[in-house]
Amino acid sequence: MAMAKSLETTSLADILERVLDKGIVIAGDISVSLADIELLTIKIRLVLCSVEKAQEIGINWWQTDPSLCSNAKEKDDELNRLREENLRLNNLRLKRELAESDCPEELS
Amino acid sequence: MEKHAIYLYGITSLDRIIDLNIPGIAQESNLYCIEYQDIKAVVSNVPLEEYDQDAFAQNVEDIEWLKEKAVLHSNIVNGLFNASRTLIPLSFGTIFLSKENVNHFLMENYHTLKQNLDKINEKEEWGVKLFCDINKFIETNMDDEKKLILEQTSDMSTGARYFLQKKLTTNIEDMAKNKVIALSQKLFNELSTKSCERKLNKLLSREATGVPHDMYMNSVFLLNINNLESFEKTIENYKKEYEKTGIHIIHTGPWPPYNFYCI
Repeated sequence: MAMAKSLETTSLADILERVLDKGIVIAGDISVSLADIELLTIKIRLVLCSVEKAQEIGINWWQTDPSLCSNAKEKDDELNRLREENLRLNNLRLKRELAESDCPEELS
Repeated sequence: MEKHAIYLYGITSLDRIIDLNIPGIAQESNLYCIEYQDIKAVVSNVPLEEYDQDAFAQNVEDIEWLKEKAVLHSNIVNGLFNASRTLIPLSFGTIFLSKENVNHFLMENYHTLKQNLDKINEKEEWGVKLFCDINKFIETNMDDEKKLILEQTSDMSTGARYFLQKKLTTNIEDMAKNKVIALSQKLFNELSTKSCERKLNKLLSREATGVPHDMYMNSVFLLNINNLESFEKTIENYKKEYEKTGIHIIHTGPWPPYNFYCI
């Protein structure tokens, strides 16, 4: 079936977008409000990237593991904070641009 | 197992045969069904200490945990979807405290669930995203507009021309973006004619997608399998026509219809 093939090339972001993207849990006794899905996706991507990058250039894992190195944690937090800030600004910019142009979001 | 909660993956018709002989999201419990009239919920047990309100809220903050479990959830739901071809795929983290509560949920929502099952019967979800490298698009697809700028400024003094050209260059970027948006709308409309339902989702940032270009369209379609060929053909045609202009169209599927049910 096509599923197996296409899912291999499907990114984690695609999966998360579907599995998490409901904002609120619609059913169930236990509900948890997930933070901004996009932010979660970015955080997960950052974790994946940093792992890949570290392996690529042969950094020892303990040097970058936030739980084992307070210095790394601070840098990590700072990086996350900057990324989040950057995302927020990007979103604002996109929103403004879309508001100024003909936004396709009105189609559905 | 210690005290447990019930994790719900999806809902299908009672007559659909699915393989239950696989572990759930917590490896120690296999899948099983809770039936109500002619529908059934596919569930598994999960330890309460990991999935109760507080523990779960805390666990989703742990990115590694969330990633692992969300992917597991997705894989299990895919398996159920492939086997049943008719499945309401629930979101990650739909958890009940007891079987009775699941039963109550099925009973309360029976008619809505039936309507949704009828709608998505034998259909699949496909996602289509359009990205654009806007600089490349300006380079390759905005010659008329650029020529116009040059013509408009040809008889000006050097200084005035410099400033006006700078302003117009910004305009060109806006014009290019509008052109890409129009193209996205055209593609969306064309694909819509080949689908049962369609939706436009929020545009995602570069950080979230990992694609180094801006996203211009994030669409999902509910497809009758018979229409898949012509759906994909349309996408291929667009890809071919615009491949040298910085437009990237990425389509994925088949997905369980996460975007096309409503309870």
